[in-house]
Amino acid sequence: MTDRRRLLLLVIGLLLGALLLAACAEDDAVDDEPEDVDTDVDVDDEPDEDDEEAEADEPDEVAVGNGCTGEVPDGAEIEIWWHEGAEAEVLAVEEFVEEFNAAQDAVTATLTLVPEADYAAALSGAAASGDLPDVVDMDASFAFNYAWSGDLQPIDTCVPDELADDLLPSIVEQGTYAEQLWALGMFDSGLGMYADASVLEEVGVDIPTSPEEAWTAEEFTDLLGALRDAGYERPLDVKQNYGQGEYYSYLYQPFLWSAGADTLDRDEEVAEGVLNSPEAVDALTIFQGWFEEGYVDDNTDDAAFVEGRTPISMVGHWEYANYKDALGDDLVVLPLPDFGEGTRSGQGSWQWAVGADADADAAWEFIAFTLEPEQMERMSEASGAIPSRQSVAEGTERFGPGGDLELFRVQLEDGWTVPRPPHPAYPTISSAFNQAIQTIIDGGDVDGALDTAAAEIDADIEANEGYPPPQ
Amino acid sequence: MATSLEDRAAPREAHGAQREERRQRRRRRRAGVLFSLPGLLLLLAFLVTPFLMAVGLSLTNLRLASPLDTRFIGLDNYIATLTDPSFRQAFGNNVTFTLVVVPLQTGLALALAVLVNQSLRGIKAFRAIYFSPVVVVMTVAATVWLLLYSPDHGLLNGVLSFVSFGTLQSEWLRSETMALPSIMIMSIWQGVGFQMIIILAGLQDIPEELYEAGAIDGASRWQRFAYITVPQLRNTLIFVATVTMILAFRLFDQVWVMTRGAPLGRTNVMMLEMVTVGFERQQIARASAIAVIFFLVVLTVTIVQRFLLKEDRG
Repeated sequence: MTDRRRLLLLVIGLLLGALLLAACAEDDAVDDEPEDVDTDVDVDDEPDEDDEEAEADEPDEVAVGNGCTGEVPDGAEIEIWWHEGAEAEVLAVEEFVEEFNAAQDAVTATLTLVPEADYAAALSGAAASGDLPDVVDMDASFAFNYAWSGDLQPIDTCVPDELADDLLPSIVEQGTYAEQLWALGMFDSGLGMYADASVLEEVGVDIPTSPEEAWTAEEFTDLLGALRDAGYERPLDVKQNYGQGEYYSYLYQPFLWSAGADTLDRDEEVAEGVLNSPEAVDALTIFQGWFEEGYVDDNTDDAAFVEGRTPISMVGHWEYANYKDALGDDLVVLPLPDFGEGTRSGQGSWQWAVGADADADAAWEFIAFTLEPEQMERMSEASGAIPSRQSVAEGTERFGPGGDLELFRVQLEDGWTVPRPPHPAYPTISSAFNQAIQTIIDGGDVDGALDTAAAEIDADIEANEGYPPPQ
Repeated sequence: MATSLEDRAAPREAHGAQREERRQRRRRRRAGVLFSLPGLLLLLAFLVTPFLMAVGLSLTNLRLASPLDTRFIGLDNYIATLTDPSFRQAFGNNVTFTLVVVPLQTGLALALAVLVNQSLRGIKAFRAIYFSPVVVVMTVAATVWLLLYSPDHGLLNGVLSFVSFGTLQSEWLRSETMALPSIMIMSIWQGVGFQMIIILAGLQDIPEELYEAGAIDGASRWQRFAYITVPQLRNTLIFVATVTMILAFRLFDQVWVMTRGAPLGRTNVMMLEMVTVGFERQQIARASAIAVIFFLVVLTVTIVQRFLLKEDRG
């Protein structure tokens, strides 16, 4: 009996000990990584003490990864994360990792696939515990928050001149924050309107062939009316089935830019007066009109355009293959409507970033491998996206001169695209703008929705002491 | 220490049965504590500690990923949350949802349970059918209902239009008035089978003699239901209502999949608000405040409910 009890006590003691050890080990890990001190502050401590401690640590905090030195360490191992979205892209990345490991001996890469739906959460979870992998792909606009929080390192020093000169300016722009480059991708993105040319000819409208000729928002609204008269009850598809999320921000911020408004004043770093400016209100009131008139198909079956219910579909480069199959030569790609200052499209896509604790040279070896023209071409084939090297983009049939998707490349090269605000507050900017868009779609007050969003963004920036840039 | 004391106690066992009994009792109590320790430790590690941490975090300005110092900011998060119109709307929606769904779902579950408690051939098939929605993962069920509710080509509007010659149509999830009721209908459909099974178990515990006695006394079927079945099911029904209430406050999956709070926040709920604030906007401290408020609300309602409907402890 007593023996048994002793055993129980022993087991419990061991359990408690293990718990304590685990807790201590965590603390140790934090001590090893000075830049992460704040993510694990013990709230039970006296607040004042915390402040002093943190201040004492500040000099260490800014010593984040320093980029490339040009020396690739032999025998380095790097961990790579890729979002498990489109299958063709995943296969391509898997091949790249295999080929990379076979092609050289210095660096060994291992790939982890994370489901796209959980990707943002996985990233913020890893960042919060200071465990971002060495090479991680992320929607570029979200990279700045991690750059600011010290979880990434800048990669300017890694990019050779030859590559820098060849990259699309847009991809560099979308990856740049605080005058440093944080993210670089194999491809860039493009937004436009796919349309059935035969239907447009039926209703007798001029089809724009370049960004300059984009329809004005009024012309476009009239066209929607004409299409309804021609028998299309709901003639516009905006991929409502994607639902609320970053896609709203990606698709609808261009309307603001086109109207001369924005989600954030890029110099003053305030949303008030820009996001709720009269220009923004006017543009989004026109947009709301499309929903009020019932012009927009809800596309629950994701087949509105391919089944011919809507002759126009507003979406990005990735739908091309699908739409081309359905419409053949009748498919045309047009710029988004012009809300006053010329059409605008989004830019930036999934881009590579390098974790703060990574060996940048080893990480860059892999990134550079994926940015080789050959790999880039294959990826473009798989993703349908615009290769981020100008030389590669111009050489492909789709995006080259006269190609079906030439518009997307021209938009990116000639400055018809705007990066989403390269600001660490972007997650909040996007979330607040998203909610405003949803309110507007649901018939809410445009003015009020934008006022609320602007106030939320400004409150967030204030709460973060203006997001002081990393040094 | 304890063992050595006991070793010394061993030779003195002969000092009377009373002493022995006391010792046994003490030993049993100690064994009880030991046996419950692993469970208690787990509860402590995964429930109590996180909750206390949430309380602590909610008093700071902690962010998900931030190089800035975490500061103690007192009750600011609570004030900001409680004055936020969006949170208030979410809270109101939760209350409405609970007030409608708990009585409706419990009543319906009772009706279904009585229905499938008969001894008919193939009754087990009916039980399985009514129970089957519970087996379906909520996100899957929500996705299917999203298609059913589609105003343009959803099955529901199709059927309504057919039987009413095109006059009965609803925008369902996109209508400001119908969005929350749509979620309620779907939730009841999904959840009612589970309550039905619990009530069914309760029904089968009721002694047949009671009904026989009732029949002899000349009670009608309705009277037997009202004066035998319902009182006998008292504890079961209280349990079912409490669990449904907690689940109703926890409402999240269907909203996340089907509406994300749209239109105009008519389907926004506290859990959705918490996820949006905590993960989309990275304000973990404020999300913790919402979690604490949520916990207090559910705790209060549960206590009030238990106070009003005291269980029989026979």
